[in-house]
Amino acid sequence: MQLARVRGHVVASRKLEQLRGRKLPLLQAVDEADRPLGELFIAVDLVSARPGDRVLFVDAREAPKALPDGYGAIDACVVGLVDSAE
Amino acid sequence: MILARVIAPVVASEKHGFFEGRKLLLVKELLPGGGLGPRTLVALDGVNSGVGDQVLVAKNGGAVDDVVGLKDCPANVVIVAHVDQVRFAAD
Repeated sequence: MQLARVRGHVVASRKLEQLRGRKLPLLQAVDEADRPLGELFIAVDLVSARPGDRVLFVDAREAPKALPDGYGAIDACVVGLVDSAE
Repeated sequence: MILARVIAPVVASEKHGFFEGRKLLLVKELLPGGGLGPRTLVALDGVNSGVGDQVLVAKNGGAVDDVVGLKDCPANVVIVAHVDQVRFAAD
């Protein structure tokens, strides 16, 4: 998992059933000092993150396992709102 | 696995149920010269590590499943060893 900042969100009215009703925040991985680590990407939000929030996300094959029924065509999921990482 | 240093605990009150009660640690990759590289990950604690520890970090879900003892965990970074020493061959 990594830390990320929420840089915005995506609106997609036509999408796979598994994504219905899910917010799609725009994330950028960051390090302990909030320095960006790589390019922007989209995740499924499970913790109602808001723009500017610092979040915890899981990626790759493990991302869908965070969804309620454990599968889905996704590769990133926000699984925590970070209070502190100092 | 990668060599890393534990630099801080990660606290997230609002989180996926899986992470309830599980210690999360912010780790940064350790470079051969001893400095810290840019790569920064959030790892599940597997061997009771603390800030400042040198550790080995495994980066896949199977490793997390093994350490936690559950299948299909929504996580893929876990600390699997406490490192006492790193010795490089004199080349």
